Amino acid sequence: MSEILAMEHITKTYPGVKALDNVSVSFEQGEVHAVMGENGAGKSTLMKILNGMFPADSGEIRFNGQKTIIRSPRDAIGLGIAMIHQELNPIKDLTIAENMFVGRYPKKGCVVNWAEMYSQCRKLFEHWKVDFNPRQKVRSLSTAETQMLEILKAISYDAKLIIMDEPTSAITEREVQKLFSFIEELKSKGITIIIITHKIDEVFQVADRVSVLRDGTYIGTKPIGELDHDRLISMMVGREISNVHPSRSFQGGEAVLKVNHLRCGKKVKDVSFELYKGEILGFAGIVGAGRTESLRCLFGLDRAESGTVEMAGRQVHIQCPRDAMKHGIAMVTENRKEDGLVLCRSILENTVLPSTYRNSRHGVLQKHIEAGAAVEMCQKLRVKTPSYENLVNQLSGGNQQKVIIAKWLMTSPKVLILDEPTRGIDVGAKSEIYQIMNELTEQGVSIIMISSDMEEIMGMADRILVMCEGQISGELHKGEYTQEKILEYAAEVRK
Amino acid sequence: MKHTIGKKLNGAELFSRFGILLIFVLVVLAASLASDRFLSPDNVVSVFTQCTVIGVLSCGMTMLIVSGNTDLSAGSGVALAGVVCALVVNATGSWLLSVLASLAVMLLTSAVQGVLVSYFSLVPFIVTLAGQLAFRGAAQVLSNGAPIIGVGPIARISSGKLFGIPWLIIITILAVLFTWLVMNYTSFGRYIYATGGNREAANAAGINVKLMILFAYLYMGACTALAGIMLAARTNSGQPTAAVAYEFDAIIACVLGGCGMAGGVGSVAASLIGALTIGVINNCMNLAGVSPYYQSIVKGVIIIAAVLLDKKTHDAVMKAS
Repeated sequence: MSEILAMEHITKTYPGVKALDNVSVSFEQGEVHAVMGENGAGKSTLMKILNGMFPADSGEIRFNGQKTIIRSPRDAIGLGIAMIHQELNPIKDLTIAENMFVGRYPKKGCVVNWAEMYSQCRKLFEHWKVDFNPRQKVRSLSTAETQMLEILKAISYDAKLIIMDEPTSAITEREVQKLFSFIEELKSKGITIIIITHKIDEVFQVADRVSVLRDGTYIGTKPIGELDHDRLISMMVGREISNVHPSRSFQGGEAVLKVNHLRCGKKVKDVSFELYKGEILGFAGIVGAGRTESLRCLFGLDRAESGTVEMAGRQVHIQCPRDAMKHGIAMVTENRKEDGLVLCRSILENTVLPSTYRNSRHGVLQKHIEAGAAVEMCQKLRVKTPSYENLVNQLSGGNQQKVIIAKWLMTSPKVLILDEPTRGIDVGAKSEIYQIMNELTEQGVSIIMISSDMEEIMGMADRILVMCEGQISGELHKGEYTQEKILEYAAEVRK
Repeated sequence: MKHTIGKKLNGAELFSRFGILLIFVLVVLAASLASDRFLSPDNVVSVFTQCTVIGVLSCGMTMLIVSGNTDLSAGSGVALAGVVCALVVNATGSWLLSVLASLAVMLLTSAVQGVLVSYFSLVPFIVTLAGQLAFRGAAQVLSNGAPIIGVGPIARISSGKLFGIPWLIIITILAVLFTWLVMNYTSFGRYIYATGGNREAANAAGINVKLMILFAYLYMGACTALAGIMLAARTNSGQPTAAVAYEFDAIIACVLGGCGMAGGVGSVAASLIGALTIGVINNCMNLAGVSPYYQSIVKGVIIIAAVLLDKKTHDAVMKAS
C-alpha cells in the first residue's frame, strides 16, 4: 500500500491553548484509519485543518506525494478530500438528487437539466447498490440514510479520502453494521477512510490502523492487530482505567415510581413500569422505539394522553416539567445544545436555573446562597473550568454534561432520568459520570437511564427494559444480559 | 472557593460589557470638540431630557430583546398612550385617572401581542408590525386626527424639578434602576435571560416560557404607557402623529448597549447608555444644522455598524476559551 496523505509537524494554537503540537501522521491508500483521543485531544482540529476549515500555524500536508495547501473545504473537495460532519445539514425540502448535485446542477444552456441530474443520480445509486429514490424529499430520510447520502455525495465528487466525524453517534446498532459494510466496500474500491470515534468496540470492528492523540500531541499509530481494548484506552488517557463501569451492589428496595399504561402520540403506545429505590433502570431499544418520548412524557415535557403515575404509592398529576420537579423528578435531556444548556449564559447561571424557584424568596433571588451551593455541586462533580462565571459554551462536552447533571442535582431529585448521558464524551469523563451515578444510588436516588450504548447499559443497569415501537417488549434482570437478547426484544413486535 | 467565581475578562468580553461606555465617551468628546455649545449646562440638560422617552422605552425593549422577542409597535404605542392620556385628563381633570387609563390601554394591547406571540407562536416581527399600524390608527381615531392640546396637571411632569433635576430625568433613572433590579435580582429576570438564551432548555428546566414572554410584552406595554405620558407632558399635548420610529431608536439603543438580537444577552444599564449615545449624536447633528434627511441616513448607518459590532463581539465571546 502506498501513502496517500501525510500531515507533518502540524501545530495550531488558539489563544491560550495549544490545540496541536507538532503532530505528524500519515495515511495509506485504501485503509480505514481511526483517529482517537479524548475530547480536547485535538483530533477534530486536525481534521478541520485537513478539510481546509482553518489553517495550521505551521507544518505541511502532502497529498499523493505532493505538497499542498488547503485553504477551504472547496479546495479539499477539489483534491478529493471530503468530510462527513457529525451534525449533518442537508437541505431538507429538496429531493435526494437535488441535494447530491447542489451547487453543480447539470445544465442545458442556462437552465438546469433535471432529467440529466436524476439519471446521473440513479446511475450512481445503482453502481453502489443503494436503494434510494432520487426524487424523494430528504426530510423523510432517517439520520443514517442522510449520512449515507452525504457519503454518496462525497463519492460523486470523486473523493479519494473521506473523513467521518463520529459517524455512529446518532444511528442505531443495525445501521452501524450497514454503514460498516459500506465502508468495507469503499475500501475495496481503494478509497481511504479516516474515522473519528469514541467507540472503542467499533474501532476493532472496522479500522485497519489507529492513531491516537492526547492533549494536542501525537501518541502513536498502531495496526489494529497489535492492540487490545485496555492498551488502546491507556494510549488515549495516558493511564490505565481498569474498570470503566464501577461495580454496583443493588439489593432492591421499595418502589418509588410506578407508571401505568402511559400513552402519548404515535411514539408512546402503552408503557408501564416500576422503579425501585436506589436502582439504575436501563431503557434499551433502537432509536425511535419511543424511549425518549416515554420519559419526556413522564417528566411533563410532552403531555400524556392517558395513563397514571404513582410516586411512593400515591397518584401524582404531571402536566409540565415544574410539576415533575415538585414531585422530585429530574431529567437530563438528550441533546446538550438543544434543550440542555443556555449556551450564552455562565456555568453558574446554568447550574442554578432549575432550582431557582426553590432558592428564591417571593421571586427575589438569594444569589450568594445559590452560588455557594452551585460551586460546591460543580466541584463535587469535578467540572473543570478556570471560573464558574465563564460561559458554559466554553466547556468541553464532558464538562457540559456534568453541568447539566449538577443543575438537576441542585433540585435534590428522588428520580433522575438520564437520556444518553455519555453520548459524545470521552472515556475519562464517562467513567466519572458512572461514578457519580453510583454515588447517587447509594444515597437512595433512583436513576432511569436511556442508552443506545450496549456496553454501557449492560455495565451500569440493575435491570433493563427494552422498548420496541412504543411498548416495553422485554425485561432483563442482571445476570441474564446479552447483546443478542436485547436486540431480539428490540425487534420483537416486528416479527 | 471564592476565587473561582470572579474571573478575568479577555478583550472581547471586556468590550462586550463596557464597549458602549467607551463609545459614549468618544462620542461626547467628539461632540464637545465639534461644538462649544455642547457642554453648556442648558444643552446637557436638554440632551438628557430628550433621551428620557427613548430611555424609558429601551427599558421594556431590553427586557423583550433579552427574552428573544422584539416590538415594532412601540412608537405608535407611545402616540396612542399620549392621546389616551390627553383625552382622559381633559375629560376628567384627574392626572391619576389619565395615567391609569393609558396604562390600562397599553397593558391590554401588549397582552394581545404577547398572547399572539407566545401562545399562538406568531412571529414577533409580524405581530408588532401589525400593532404599529393598528395603534397609530387607533390614536388617530381617538383624536379625530388632530393633536389634543393641553394636558393640564400632566404637564407638570415635564416642567417640575426635584433638587434642580427635571422629573423626566428622575423618572427615567428610576425606570432603568427598577428594570435592572428585576432583571438581575428576581427569578423572573433570570427566567427571561434563560428563555431568550435557549427556549427549549428553559422549558426543560421547568420554566413556563410562554408566560415569561407574555410578561415581557406586558412590561414593554407598561414602559410604552409611561413613555407616552412623558411625551404628552413634554409637548403638552396628545399627538396622534408623534413618536414615529421611536421603536427603532429604542432598538438601536439596546443593540448599541450590547443586547444580542438572538436573545439571552443584554443589560438595561448599557441600553440606557446606548440611548444617551444616540441622543448625543442627534443633538450634535442638530447643533451643526444637519438636515433631518441626512440624520436618518446617519442613523441607518449606525444601526448596521452596531449590529456588525454585536455580531463580532458575540462570536469572539462565544469562541473564547
